[in-house]
Amino acid sequence: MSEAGASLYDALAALAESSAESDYAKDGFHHRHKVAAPKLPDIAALCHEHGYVLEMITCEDQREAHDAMRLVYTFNRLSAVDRHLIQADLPPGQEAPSIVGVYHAADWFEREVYDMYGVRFAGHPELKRILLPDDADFFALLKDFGRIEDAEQEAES
Amino acid sequence: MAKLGPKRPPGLITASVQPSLTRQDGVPLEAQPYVRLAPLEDLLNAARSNSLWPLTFGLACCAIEMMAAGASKYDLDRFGAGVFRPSARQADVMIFAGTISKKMAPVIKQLWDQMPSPKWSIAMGGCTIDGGPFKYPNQYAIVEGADHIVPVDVYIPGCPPRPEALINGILQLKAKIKAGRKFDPNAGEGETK
Repeated sequence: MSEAGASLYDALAALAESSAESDYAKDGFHHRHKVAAPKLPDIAALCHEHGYVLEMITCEDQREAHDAMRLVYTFNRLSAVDRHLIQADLPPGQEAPSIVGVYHAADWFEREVYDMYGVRFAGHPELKRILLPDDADFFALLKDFGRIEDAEQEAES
Repeated sequence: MAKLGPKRPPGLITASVQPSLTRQDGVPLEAQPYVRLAPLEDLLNAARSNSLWPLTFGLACCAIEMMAAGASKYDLDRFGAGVFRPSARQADVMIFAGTISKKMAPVIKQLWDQMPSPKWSIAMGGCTIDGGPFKYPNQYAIVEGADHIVPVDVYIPGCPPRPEALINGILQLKAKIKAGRKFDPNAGEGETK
């Protein structure tokens, strides 16, 4: 591990609830962090200071298993690959802090997460639908949105 | 989810090629030279069918095949249909090349409304016929067929159709235009003449 990679890991570990090394060859991440959702802007600022890029933001509907919406952030470095996976559990219905102030690239990612999962981001400049029609009244990737199998059974019966 | 338009009648609607002479039925033979403007219409239709200007407009992967059809190997210009217009105001045929998402549907309708009449449309590929591979119960993102948005003249099956298929579709459309079209409000639904 290079010097800068080590220093970011230490800095993130100081903020995170738990951090761990991970096997990149096995699961594609060098480090995993679990953080509290309010600390996300600080985490993003740290990554930005160390010259890391925001690869993606997505979400998991973990309401059944953990009673939480799990936000997932991936940061990477272009000079020497060093991927950090950040997971933040958010109570359902609660707003997450936006990191658009740190990474402009987060703008459309956060709109997509809102579009598909209904998670709102406090501080986002224009949080509106991005992929679905503006008048959509559903969040398509929630587990209770509707399953294909159920609809097929309804169609058969 | 509300449908965007009436469901089209079942079955593949292709061009019905009829000689324009049949339109003289009912007119006394000696009066035909005086009351019939068909030669002028035939001339106009011949001109229209040989200068189809498609809108530069691709929705998904079918657009790649459309581009291939327009490029030198297949050369749509041989049929007068290779002049892809960048503006809907200058185009007279809309080739639906790809999946139509519900987000895109209002924009497509607006483009169609901007095209001057007479205008025609070609539904290229499975997605534009009935939703194709993206059609399943509870789907939320796709318009299941171009005919929910605009009236479609020619359907080209395939996923995606090869350039030859698109060329055949354009030839079908040409035949349909040359055959003439009756704008009869009492005509049967789905009937094309």
